[in-house]
Amino acid sequence: MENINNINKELKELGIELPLGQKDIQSIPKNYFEEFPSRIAELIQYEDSLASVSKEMPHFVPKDYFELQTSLTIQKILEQDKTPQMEVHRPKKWYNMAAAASIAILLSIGMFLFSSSPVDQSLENQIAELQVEEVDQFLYETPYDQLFGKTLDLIENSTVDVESLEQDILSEIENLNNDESHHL
Amino acid sequence: MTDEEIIKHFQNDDSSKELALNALIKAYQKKLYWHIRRMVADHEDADDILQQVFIKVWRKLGNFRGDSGLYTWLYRVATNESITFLNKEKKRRTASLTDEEGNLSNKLKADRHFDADKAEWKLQMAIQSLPDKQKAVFTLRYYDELPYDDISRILDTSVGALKASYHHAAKKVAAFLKKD
Repeated sequence: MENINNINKELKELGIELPLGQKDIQSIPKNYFEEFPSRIAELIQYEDSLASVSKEMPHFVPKDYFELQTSLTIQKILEQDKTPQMEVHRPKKWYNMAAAASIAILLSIGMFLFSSSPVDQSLENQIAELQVEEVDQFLYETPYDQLFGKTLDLIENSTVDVESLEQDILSEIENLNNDESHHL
Repeated sequence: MTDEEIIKHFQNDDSSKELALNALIKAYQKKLYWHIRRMVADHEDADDILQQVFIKVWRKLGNFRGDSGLYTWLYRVATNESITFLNKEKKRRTASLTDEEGNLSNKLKADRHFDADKAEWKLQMAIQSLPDKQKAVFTLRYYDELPYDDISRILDTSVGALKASYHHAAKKVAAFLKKD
């Protein structure tokens, strides 16, 4: 090994002073080095004997198991692909909700305002007789882009005067506002 | 048994191979153990690594070409095994977000002989703060007193780079000692 003086000299040239006392100060178990060679010999013997044991699994497997299993598995997968699956069509709920809300509001206002006015009684009667399920069925079957077209057709074909209906709605709103300000 | 006789018995793969291994272990176990211990701080870890080193030696010494001296080759195996261990520990601790340097310092502090006031222990703490390869350079030079040429063969690094690394490490260690 290199002369310790050279190492000290090297450090001095760097302007460094390091503790030069006892160097290997960490504790080790008693008789560690005395016992180490025999531990290594045992470990090597153990590894060698393990290496001599085959890694092949000793378990019994039926003849042609893997070949048969492969074809059975493939068959099952193919059968699953052929099985028809039911598709559930869910209507676009928010479209239906919005349309139902619009129609309900229009019809309610119309009925409220025209309860004592000369209106088409047959239409009013028809609307009153409508069941909720019938309204749902209509909304479910009618595509969205046609829904409002059909609604407008319904209004146009009735005897309901849309312009006067609008004016009545606006004057009713004004009256309601005036009442509120009186109460305040 | 000399190094050459040990190598000869291994290469001949004769019945005295076990005797040769025994002679090899007795000749080098302390040097290699302390070199590894200085790298990993903990006795149990050092023991595991030292066992792995000699198992590798048992399996590979028969193919040793003798390009370098036997002890250079042994130190090389020991250093590589230590750095591999430290890298694995780092990855494991990164996953658990724990501090690697703090961990090695804690291992030193766990030693029953630890005395924070003694200069030798402070030096050990300073050394554990160095990066792994720089730690190897420092300990091989400072503790094992190996020439730069031998360290170059062990670490597969140029002499110039080793000198720079050692000087830098020595300054870091000195600064660490002054800090307290």
